[in-house]
Amino acid sequence: MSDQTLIERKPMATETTAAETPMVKVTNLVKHFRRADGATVNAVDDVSLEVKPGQFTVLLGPSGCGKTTLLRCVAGLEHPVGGSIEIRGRTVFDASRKINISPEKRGLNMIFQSYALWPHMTVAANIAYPLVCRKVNKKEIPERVANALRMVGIPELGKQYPSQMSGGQQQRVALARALVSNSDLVLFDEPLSNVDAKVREQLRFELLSMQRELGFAALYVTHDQSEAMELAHLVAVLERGKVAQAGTPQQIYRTPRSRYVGGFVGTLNEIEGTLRRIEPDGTAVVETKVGLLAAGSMVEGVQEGDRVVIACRPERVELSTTRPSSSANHWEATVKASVFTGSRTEHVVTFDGNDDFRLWRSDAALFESGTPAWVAVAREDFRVLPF
Amino acid sequence: MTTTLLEKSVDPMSDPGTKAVRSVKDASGGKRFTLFSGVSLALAIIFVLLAMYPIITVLLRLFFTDGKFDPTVFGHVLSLPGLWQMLLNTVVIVIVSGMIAVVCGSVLAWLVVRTNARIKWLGSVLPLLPFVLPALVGTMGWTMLLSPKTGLINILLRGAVNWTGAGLTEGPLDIYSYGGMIFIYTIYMIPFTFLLVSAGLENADSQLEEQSRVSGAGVVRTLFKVTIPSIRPSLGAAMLLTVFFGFAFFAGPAVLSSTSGIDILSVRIANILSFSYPADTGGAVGLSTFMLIAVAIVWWFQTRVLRSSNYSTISGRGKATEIELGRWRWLGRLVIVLYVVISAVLPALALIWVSLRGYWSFDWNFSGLSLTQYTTVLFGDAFSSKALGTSLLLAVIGATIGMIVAAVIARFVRSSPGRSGRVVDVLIKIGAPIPAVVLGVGVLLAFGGAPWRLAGTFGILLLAYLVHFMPQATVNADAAAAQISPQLMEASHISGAGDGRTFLRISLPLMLPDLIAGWSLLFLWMLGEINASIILAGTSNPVLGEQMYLLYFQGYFGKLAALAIVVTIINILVIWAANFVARLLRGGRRVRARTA
Repeated sequence: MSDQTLIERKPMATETTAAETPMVKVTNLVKHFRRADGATVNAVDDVSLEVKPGQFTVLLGPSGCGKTTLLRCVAGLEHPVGGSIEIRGRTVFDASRKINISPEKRGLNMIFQSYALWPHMTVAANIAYPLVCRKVNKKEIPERVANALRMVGIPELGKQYPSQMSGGQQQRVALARALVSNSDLVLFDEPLSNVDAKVREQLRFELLSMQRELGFAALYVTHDQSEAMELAHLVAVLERGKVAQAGTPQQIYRTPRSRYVGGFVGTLNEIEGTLRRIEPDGTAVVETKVGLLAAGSMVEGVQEGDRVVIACRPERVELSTTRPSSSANHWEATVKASVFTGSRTEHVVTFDGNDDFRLWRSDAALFESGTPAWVAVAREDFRVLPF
Repeated sequence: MTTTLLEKSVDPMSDPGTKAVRSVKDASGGKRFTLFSGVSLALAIIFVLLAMYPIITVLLRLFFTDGKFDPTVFGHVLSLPGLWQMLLNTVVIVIVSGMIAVVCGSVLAWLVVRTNARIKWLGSVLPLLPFVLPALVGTMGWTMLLSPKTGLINILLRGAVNWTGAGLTEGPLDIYSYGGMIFIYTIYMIPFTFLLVSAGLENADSQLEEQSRVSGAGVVRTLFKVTIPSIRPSLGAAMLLTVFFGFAFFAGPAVLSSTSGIDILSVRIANILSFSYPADTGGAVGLSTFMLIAVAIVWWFQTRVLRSSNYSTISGRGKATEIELGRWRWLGRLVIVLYVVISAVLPALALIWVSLRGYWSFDWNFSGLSLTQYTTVLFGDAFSSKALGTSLLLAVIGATIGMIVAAVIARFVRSSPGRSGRVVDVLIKIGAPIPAVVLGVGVLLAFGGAPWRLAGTFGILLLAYLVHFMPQATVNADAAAAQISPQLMEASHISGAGDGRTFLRISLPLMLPDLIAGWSLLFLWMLGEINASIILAGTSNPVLGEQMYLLYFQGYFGKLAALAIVVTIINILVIWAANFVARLLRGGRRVRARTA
């Protein structure tokens, strides 16, 4: 099994110690840049994060939130100023102990946004490069390259040059190069942002099945929330260099901890108000301009009397022309626009407190602009967030 | 072909491929110390010291003679005969030529970049002309055309004028005059102004012009109201560069100065050091100081112009649509062709004629043509063939060492986000504005005597060439390095390769086509070098520039012309071969230059 002796990977050990040793452990990491005008920007601001073996972790956030910098710190391409990074239990960076292992000695693989295929080498030579650098037996290399090419579905393209290939094919070569050395950790820097939408969906699906099959741990950077939702076991939403919230895609979507997180992973309808009381069963009652609204969940730490928003997802809202008889929260509104978008119908309603309240229905019924209507949201679909 | 000038220092912050968040300076400045970065840093420090040492020697010589404080150099220099006339000559000629060159270069640039008068292949060849036919050779060719008595053009003009019974015996034109000087200076300044202004035009957003046209302005109004204002910083930089170049320019005035009696600073420095006995070292040092002061003033202005130019370089989106010149197109083409004819074709033809004829005579005797002069300079005349051999060897060795060192340094500068990279970058380029004549004086003072005793050796020439051209070489190498996305190197590190392997397997092969193009330019410069050579070359190691200079003033015009044509042919072959090899290396693959 010389395949596995290649880098520090010890499959058995990894399995037995999976519970206690994370693949990547980032602790209190700090990295700042000095802007041209002299101001210091905290690109990564006291971030702690764990990636478990075999886990697909996505760093999600808008551009400039520090997600790529964080990834590059893990890879060893950036030099943080504080905190520590462990990979497979080995400290690769520690500011206080002045440890900083160079990227080539960290035993990981990475797929760059531009794929970073070397244009002067054939596809086969590109894929063989990590094996050559890691001193794999020369006789094994051609077979492993062929295997990698087959795995990513382009077995016949080994002799081509990267510039002769489409974006999707280049992406596959980059993937093959990352996977050829059987690393148990692959870093991804927005790898799908350079291919067109159709190819992106296909590649995303293939990447997902490959990761689940091969079981490598992935740390994946993207600004695309649907990509994050689809791929991730764990999503970490970053906000100005800090982890705003980390959790499963469901947790992030259903129970965001802030308006920023909720709004970043999907459309969020918000109504401002003041938290009046918390019922014994956990129901939070919020006073808003449309009356008292009851929310089934709330972010911890919000106090009675605090200014808050009460929020819900557009697909969890009912719309009717008659007053609902249910006990759910309901209030009067005016339809501003109704648009059929194919898979759903989007309605925008306005009322005192929110003039851009969106709701998505699966039926194709349209309302005329100006139609008075009733909006209803179940108690458990409302969540109270700090203002 | 990368033709880069000294002011085109590539801003390491404008790295392609780095994102907004990373386009800021690394606050930590940390970089692991590896063998590769150690070697790079050592190389850079050696070259910086080699460049600084001669200049410091010159400055020290101002105050100290033989280790004792002795400021008599000042008094000596100020009492040099004709000092103020010489300085006035130099300043006037440089400024006037510079202004004409900016106008001519801008017209050429506008024609080539923006209008349908462009002749595609000529646009890239044009800036290379003064290197292919070096200024020394070109000026000598022009003396053969415009000497008052025996110049071919004058003979032809007199033939036409005297037909009316004027009875001229010389003239009407005279190359040995202020006008002639300005003419020669202008010809060799135009490529620099052309390059700067065309770069400015290419960077300026052509949509601004299109908007002006759409708004109802004609070609001329658009030119004056939109185009010229938008490239004003480029024009300023071009003007300053002509002053840089003009003060250091030696080959042209060296040919014209003595006959015309118009004394020029650069020529005087070389003359009192190399062609007077005993050599007036103090005078040369003092005059060099005048040159350094001029350069320092221009440098100060230049950094200001470049800093203020940030606002105007609006990135061009898409290629500008050509301006249709209509029936003026042929006039435009004529202007472009005219420059090529004046700067290269005419002097080359004059030299070819003289080399075949054997002596300076335009008697149209075709039966007397032979290749005798060629066989003489190549095989017969010991000094000429030795000079050719020495210069070829110097150029090959110098260009190769220079380019490799430059590539290592450029790679190091680009991959070091911290202060060390910046410092090396600045230091290595600091020598760029030092005129070759001054550097020659400095190298002679610093390494000529004890304990080095390198005067007149091959080594001192190689040293001077390397030091003088290293800033240019690093700018070229940096342009090559800038083409490569940093992610390609990062991917190599991630794949488990260290700095050394990454340089050899990834950076170097990717830079190679551009490095070869840079090598060919370095080769050309070194082969035709005269400014420093005339001070440093000794009789045991004659070099081409010096040998041609001597042949000219000894009156061996046949030999000189043959040698000049041989050099020109070598230059053309080297440029052609370098382009061929570079294209071969690029092969079917296209370098993924800028990644998103």
